[in-house]
Amino acid sequence: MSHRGKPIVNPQVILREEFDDWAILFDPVSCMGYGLNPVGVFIWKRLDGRHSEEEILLDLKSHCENVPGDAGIHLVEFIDDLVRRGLAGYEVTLT
Amino acid sequence: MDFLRSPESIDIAVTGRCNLKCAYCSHFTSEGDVEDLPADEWCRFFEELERRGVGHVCFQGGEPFFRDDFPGLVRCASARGIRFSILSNGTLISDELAAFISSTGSCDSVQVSIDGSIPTTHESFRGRGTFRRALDGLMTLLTHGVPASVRVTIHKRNVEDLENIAALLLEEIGLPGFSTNSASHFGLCRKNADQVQLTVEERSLAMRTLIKLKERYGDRISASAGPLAEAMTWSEMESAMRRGERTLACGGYLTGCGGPMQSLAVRADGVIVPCLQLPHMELGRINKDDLIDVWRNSSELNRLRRRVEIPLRSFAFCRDCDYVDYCTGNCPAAAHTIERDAWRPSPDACYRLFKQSGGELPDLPPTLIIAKAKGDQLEYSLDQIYFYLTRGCNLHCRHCWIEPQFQTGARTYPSLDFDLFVSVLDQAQALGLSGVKLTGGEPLIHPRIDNILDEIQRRELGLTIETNGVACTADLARRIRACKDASVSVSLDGADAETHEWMRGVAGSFEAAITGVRNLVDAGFKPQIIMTVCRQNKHDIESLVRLAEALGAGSVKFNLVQPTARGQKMHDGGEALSVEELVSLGRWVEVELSLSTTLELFFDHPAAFRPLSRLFGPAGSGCYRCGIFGILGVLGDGSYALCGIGETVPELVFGHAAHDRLEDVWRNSPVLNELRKGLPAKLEGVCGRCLMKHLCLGACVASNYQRGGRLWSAYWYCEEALASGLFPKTRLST
Repeated sequence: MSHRGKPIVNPQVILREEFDDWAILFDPVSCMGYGLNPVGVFIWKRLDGRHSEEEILLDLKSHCENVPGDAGIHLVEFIDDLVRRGLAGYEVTLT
Repeated sequence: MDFLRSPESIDIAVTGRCNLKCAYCSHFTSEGDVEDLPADEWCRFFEELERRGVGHVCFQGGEPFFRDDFPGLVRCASARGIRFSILSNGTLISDELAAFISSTGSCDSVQVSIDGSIPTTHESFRGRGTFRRALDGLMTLLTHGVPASVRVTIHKRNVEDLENIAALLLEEIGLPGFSTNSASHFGLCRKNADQVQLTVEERSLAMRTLIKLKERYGDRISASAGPLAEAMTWSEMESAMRRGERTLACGGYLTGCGGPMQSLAVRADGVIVPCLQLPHMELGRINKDDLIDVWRNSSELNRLRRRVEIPLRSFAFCRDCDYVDYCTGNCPAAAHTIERDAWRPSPDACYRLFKQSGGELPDLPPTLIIAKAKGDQLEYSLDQIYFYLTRGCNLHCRHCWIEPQFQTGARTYPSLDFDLFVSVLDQAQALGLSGVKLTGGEPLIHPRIDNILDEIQRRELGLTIETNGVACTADLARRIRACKDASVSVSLDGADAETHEWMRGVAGSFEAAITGVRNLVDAGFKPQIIMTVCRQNKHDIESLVRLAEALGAGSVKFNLVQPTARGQKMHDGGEALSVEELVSLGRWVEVELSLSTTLELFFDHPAAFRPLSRLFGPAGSGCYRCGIFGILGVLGDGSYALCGIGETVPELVFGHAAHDRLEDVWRNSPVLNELRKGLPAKLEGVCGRCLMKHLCLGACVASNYQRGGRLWSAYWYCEEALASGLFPKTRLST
């Protein structure tokens, strides 16, 4: 897993949780919704600009059973997808 | 004739006045130069539009913003639930007006005319100072989140500025796209033709440039008339001729305009006309004549509609043309202004004349040709035909949404002619057909069902059958099994004879259906059992699942009673369940009952009510999506229709297999093309606000049209759920 900084959610995007632990990410700018499964929700809640991808993976392993060996790859792909859709990003420091 | 029950949209010239006097304006000095109607007259008209289910108007002029009371008109229309678009020169759009338009939430687009990348070209025919003001107007709209678009009218003074215009609009401003046309033959343009209209050399130059830009920007540049549209259409004609095709869809007849099948227009003085470019053709007057009466019964309008039946070969001008079978005769309004006869082809967009005058068609780059072919294939591939094989049925179900005649041994009703069935398959396979669904009435009582199954097997088409099971003999079950990828659904509306036959109306039908299911299982199927849930059988749901398990079924689907045909009577009589009961039942089936069985369970309420885990999770039942973009119905009498709804809603019938070519129906039906263009973006009411609309597509367009009178009407179940506070808020955008 590469060290790419600490991902953070787009603050305009709303997490709408449903009764079965799945959720919809709602982007009010584009009026689009995206479904998240419970693992996606778990990760989303840790995209706070304070957790690195490595820390989120460790957290995931400590909370879930049967975490597959390649979970780190899926985690990075998931965050990349969120970034590509404008739903998340990385904190930048102005120099 | 195939036209909508009410017009989809009305073009409204709210004023004949304008703050500019562009040299190529299509309105001044035409029959449309008339006095403006007062605002209260328009507001009364919008009330009629609401009553008649007309959900969209296009405000134009003159210049709509030239009327001081224009916001009042917009407010009036918007309050009636009417969506609107506006055609404007952009110069009068203030911050306040843009904010107001945005606040209505009903605006589909404001189209601003921009004809140059710099003041010199834009203002050459529009007047000094207009470029900056038009651009400011456009930017103000964008700032307020109004969906703004741009139309570029190509003329002598800007034909060499097209690349810069594209760069300004698409790169600097960042618009998603713009459209083009060219100075034509209407209004002032006729008087100033020498100064504004393109010569054949300039037209060729415009085509070359626009094709080059289209290669660069793709679908961000579009046109329905003018040099770009002509270059694309004429290239397709040449291409079809090279491929040896004898004709193009709609070719050979005066089919160049579909407007009279879909829309009407109203002049600034309230006179109803077919189109604002045909202002002399007076059909009636608003608030005096009934709009729907004009729409359906105007002899002049119906004569205009029948223009599509006039062969081009009947005109001496066209008879010897090599392209006669590929041409559509072009715009009737242009034919009227040039030839003084709208029932003739227009020479304006005549390819042969263009060539004879020295015009040169640019080579279409292979990427554009491939993109076009791929687009056709993707958008219009006919994947499946639903054959409603019989007009009669051997049961008389109280919930049936098609309402066939009850057929006993003594009395039979017509069924689809076998030769017609074969002819439809021949034509459909050329359009990409991969499978068929046989339904009814009751498909298994078709007198030639054996031949039909043999034909499907021989052609290796996928097969789905929906049956009540009563006539499903062991032999038929084996024949069905021999077909490729065959699947069968059998209706059982109760776990015992009393409940099932209360619903199905015929004694003995329960045992007969059970025998039918057993025959299917013996033939190697795991059939699906379908139960339509209502007040009478809601307590039978779990028992039915156990029965399905015992019979060897593969899945159970629970349908809603649709408020259509006999189903409407169940709703009216309180025999259907309330939406509150259905929402609760659906949750129980999906979340609890499904855990108690190895069968797959489907509860057929819209996606917004289904848990995400059931739609997308590994233990779920998947997400069903209506295949409306790839399906066509064929009714028992041979009519082509959207689906079985054609039995009760004639305007959703598109032609007849005995005398209409399937390809023409599939490619050119106004309803199908409207759906392709508008679904799901145009869905209204709660469906327009639903985050699941791309998956759900409005649940059932047929039911929505039948109930609401519009293709974009919202689904009844979702509207009722919203009104009751039961629609899941997490699934709404606003």
